[in-house]
Amino acid sequence: MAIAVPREAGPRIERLERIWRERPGVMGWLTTTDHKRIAILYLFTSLAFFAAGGVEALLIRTQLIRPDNGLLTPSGFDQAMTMHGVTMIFLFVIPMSIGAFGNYLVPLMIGARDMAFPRLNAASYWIFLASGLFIYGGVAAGHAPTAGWFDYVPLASKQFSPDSGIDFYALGLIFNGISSTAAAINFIVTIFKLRAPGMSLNRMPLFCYAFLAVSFALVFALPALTCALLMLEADRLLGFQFFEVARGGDTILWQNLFWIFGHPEVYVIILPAFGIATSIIPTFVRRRMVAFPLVALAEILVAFIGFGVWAHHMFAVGLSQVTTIYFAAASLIIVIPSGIQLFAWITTIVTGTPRFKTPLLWIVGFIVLFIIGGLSGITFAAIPFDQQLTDTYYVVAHFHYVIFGAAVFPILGGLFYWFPKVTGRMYHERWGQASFWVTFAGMNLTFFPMHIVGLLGMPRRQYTYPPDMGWTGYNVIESIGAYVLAAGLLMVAVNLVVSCFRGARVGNDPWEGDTLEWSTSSPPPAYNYAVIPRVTSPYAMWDREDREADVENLAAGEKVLEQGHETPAVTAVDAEWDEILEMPSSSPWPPVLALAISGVFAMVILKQWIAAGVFLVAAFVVLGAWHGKEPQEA
Amino acid sequence: MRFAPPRSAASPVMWFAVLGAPFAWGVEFAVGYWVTQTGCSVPGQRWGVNVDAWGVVLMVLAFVVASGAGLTALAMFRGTADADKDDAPPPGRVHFLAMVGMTVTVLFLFIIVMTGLGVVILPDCHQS
Amino acid sequence: MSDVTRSMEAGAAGVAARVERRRRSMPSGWWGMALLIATEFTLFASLIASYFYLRFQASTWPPAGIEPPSITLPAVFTGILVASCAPVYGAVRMARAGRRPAAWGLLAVALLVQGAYLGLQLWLFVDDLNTFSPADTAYGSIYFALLGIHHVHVAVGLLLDLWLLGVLAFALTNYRLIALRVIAMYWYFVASVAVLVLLTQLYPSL
Repeated sequence: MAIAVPREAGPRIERLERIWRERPGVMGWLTTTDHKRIAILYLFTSLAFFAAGGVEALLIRTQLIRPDNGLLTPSGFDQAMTMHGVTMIFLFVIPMSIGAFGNYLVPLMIGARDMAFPRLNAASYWIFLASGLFIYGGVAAGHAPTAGWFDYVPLASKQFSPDSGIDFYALGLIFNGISSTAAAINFIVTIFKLRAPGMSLNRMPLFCYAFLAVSFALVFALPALTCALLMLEADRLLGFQFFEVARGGDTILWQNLFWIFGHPEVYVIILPAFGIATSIIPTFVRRRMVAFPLVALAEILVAFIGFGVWAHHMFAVGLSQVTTIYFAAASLIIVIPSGIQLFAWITTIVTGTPRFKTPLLWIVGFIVLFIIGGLSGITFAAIPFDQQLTDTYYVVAHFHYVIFGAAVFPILGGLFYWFPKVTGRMYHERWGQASFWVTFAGMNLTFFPMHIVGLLGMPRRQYTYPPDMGWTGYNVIESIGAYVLAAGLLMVAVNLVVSCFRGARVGNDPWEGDTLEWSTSSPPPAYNYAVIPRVTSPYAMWDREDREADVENLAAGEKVLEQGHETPAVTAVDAEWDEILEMPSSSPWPPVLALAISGVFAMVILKQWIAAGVFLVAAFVVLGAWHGKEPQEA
Repeated sequence: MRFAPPRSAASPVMWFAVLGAPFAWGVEFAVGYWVTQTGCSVPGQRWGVNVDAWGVVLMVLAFVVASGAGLTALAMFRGTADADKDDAPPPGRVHFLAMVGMTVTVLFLFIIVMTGLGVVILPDCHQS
Repeated sequence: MSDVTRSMEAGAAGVAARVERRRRSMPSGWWGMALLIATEFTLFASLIASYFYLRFQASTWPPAGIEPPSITLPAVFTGILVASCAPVYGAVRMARAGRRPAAWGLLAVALLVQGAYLGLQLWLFVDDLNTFSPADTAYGSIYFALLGIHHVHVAVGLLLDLWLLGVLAFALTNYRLIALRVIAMYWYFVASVAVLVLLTQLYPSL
C-alpha cells in the first residue's frame, strides 16, 4: 500500500529533492555517501569477484573431471583452490550480503535517510575494492597464495612457501578486514541510533536483527584473524618465531586464532541470508512470521554461540578430550537456534497463503538445502565421526550446501525480490523460475555426490586422484553439475540485466511487502522518505493507520526534516526521539583514504618500509582533513 | 513470582534476565578452556591444577547464575502477561525480552551441563 | 517534534554544552568509538591469550638465556600514562561546561605527558631489543609484538590529540565536543590496556 503525496507537501518535497540531490556523473559516484549508491557499487564489484571465483571453481571441477588430469599443475590447482575460497568468502559473499543488501536496505527498513556514518560507509567500499585489487594484483603478477583459504602453518611459513603469494593473502586480508570492521561498526550504530522514532527493539524487522548479529560477530571475530595474520607476516618478513616449534612457537596457535575468526565468519556468511529469508517469507505467504521473538533471538544466538565452537575444525589435530568437549557441547546446541528458525519459516509458509513467485522459490530451495547442509554439519559435532571424515569431500559437501545453498540461494532470491524496488522494473517471472530450477538441479548434482565420495575416502584439496578408487563416476557427475550450475547463474544474470532495460515498470509496492522500503518510490529518492514513518510493529507496511498517519504528517510538515540533510537519532533500546542529525552529502576523502591505505600495503609487500611509513602518515593526514569538515559542512 | 515491568531501558534486572545465562556460559567456557590448557601442560602438572574439580565448580556456578537469570525472565514474563510483544515500551519491550530470556536460559543450561559432565566423565589430558 | 534539538547547529562552546546536556542517550560517535575500542580490545585479548598459550607450551619461561623483565621502570612509566587520564578527564569536563580555552590547555598538558610516556617506553623497547631478539624465540616474538602494538596505539592517540588541539583552537562545536569525549574514551582504553600489557609483560617476574 503506497502513500499518496498530499498537495500541501509539494514545496517541502522540492526542498528535500534539492538538498539531497547527488552530484552528476563520475565525480558523483566517486564522492557519493548515499548508502543506496554505495550498495550498487558493492553489488557490481562483488558480482565481478563472484565471476572470478566461479571461473576458479570451474577450473577445479574441470581438472577433477577425470583421474590423472593434466589441465592444472599441482601448484596451479592449489592457486585455483585457494583463490576460489578467498574470493568467494572475502570478496563476494560478505560484500554482497553486507555491503550491497545491508547498505541498501537497513536504512530503508528502519525509516532512516542514511547510515550513521555515511563517509565511513563510502570508505568501506573503496577499501574493499582496493583490497580485492591488491590480492588479484598479486595473482596477476604471478604471486597467488597456494595454502588454501585457511593458510595453515607450517605450509604457509617462509620456509615452505617462499613465494610472496602468502604475503598478498595475509596483507590483503588485513586490508579487507579494515573495510568489514568499518562496515560492521556502521551497521550497529545505525541500527541502534537511527531507527524511526517508535521502532523500539521489539518492533524492529528481523532483517535488522540478522544484521545486528552479523555486525557484532564481525567486530569480535576479525581481530583474531588480524592477530594471526600479523603474527604470520612477522614470522615471514621479520623472522619472528610465533609458529616455529623448535624456538618455542606452536603451529596450533595459528589454527586456534584462525578458527576463532573462521567459525564466526561462517555465521557472518549465513546470517544475512537468514535475514533475507525472513523478509521474503512473510510477504509471499501474507502472514506474519511465527514466533517472532524466538526468530530474532535465534539470529543473535547463532552468532554468539558461534564464538564457542571454533575447535570443532580442529578435532583431528590432537587436542585433549577435556578441551574438545567444550566445543562438542556448544556445536551440538548451536543447531537449536537454526532449528528454531527453520521451524518458524516452515510453519509460516505452511500456515500462510503462499504465492510461489521466484523469490519464494529460492527461499524454499534454501530451506531444503540448509536442512541437508545442517544435517551433515551436526554429524561433525560427534568427534569420532569427525575424525574419520575430516579433510574428505564430505566436508566440502557440507560447507557448499550451507554456503551455496543457505547463503547464495537467499542472495539470489533477494536479488529478484528487491529488483523492482531498486530498478523500478519487474524481472521476467517465467525465466526467473526456470533459472531457479536449473540452479537448484546444478547445485545438487555438483555437491550431493561429494557426500558419497567423501565417505568413500576421497581427500579434499588434492589436484588429482587415481583411476581405480571408484571415485571417477561421482567426479564426472559433480563436474557436469558445476556446468549446469553455471548455466543457471547465467540465466539469472541475463534475466536481471535484460529486465533492467526492458522490464515492465512497477510502482512502490508490487509485492504488498511487509517492511518500510515498500512505502517509498521505486527506486527510492535520494532522501528515502519524504516524511519519517510512524512505526508501531515490525510489519510497518501492513499497519494501515500508521501509513495514513504518515500522509497526515507530510501534509502538516511534521517529521519532514527538510531544513538540511537531516535524519532523526533515537535512544538505543526504546527509540525515543533524541535529536536531529545532519548527514554529510558528498566527500572526496573516502576514496583518497583508500588510495593512501593501498599505498601502505603496496609498500609493505615491496619491503619499502620508509615509503610505507610515508603513506601511513598520509592516511592520517587524510583522516584529519576528513574530520575537519563536519557533516553539516560536507 | 511476578513483578511490575522495569520502566528504564537500561534496567539491570531486565538485562540480567536476558544476558545472565550467556554470560554464565561465557565465563564457564573461557575459564574452563584455560584450565584445560594449563592443567594439561608441563607447568600445569607441576602446579597440580585439577581439571575435574574446576570443571564441576564452573558448571555449578554457571548453572546457578543462568537459572537465576531464567527465573527472573519468567517473573518478568508473568508480570507483563497482558502485554503484547508489539506494544510500546516499556511493557512491549519487557515482554519481548522476557520471552528471549527464558528461551536463552534453557539452551545455555544444556550447554553448561553437557560441558561440565563431559569434563568430569572424560579422562583428563588424554589426546582425542 | 519541533522541540527536538538540531544538534549540528551548535557552533560555539556554550551552545554545544547545552546540546550535550539535553541529549538523553549516547551520540553516534560515542557508539562508534566504543565499538572501535571493542575491536582493539579483542586484538589485545588475542595477543595476551597467545602469550599465555605459548607460555604453557614451554617448561621454562622465559627460555634459557633471557632474564625475566625488571619491574620498576615499566611500572612507573605505566603509572605516568594512567595519570595522564586526569588532565584528559579534566579537558572533557571543561568542554562540557562550555569552557574551550581551559579544555584546550588541559588537553595540551595530557599530550605532553603521553608523549613523554611514549618516548620513555620506546627507550626501554630499544634497550630490550639490544638484550634479546624477537627473531630468536617465541618468547621474544610475543613480548615485542605485544609491547609494539601497544605503542602503536599510543602513537595513534597522540595523533588524535594533535588533531583535536588543532580544531579546538578555533571553536568548540557539537561535533568537536563529541570528538573530545570519544578521544578521551580512547585514552582511558589505552591506559587500561597498558596496565594489562604491563601485567602480562611482567608475569615471569611476579
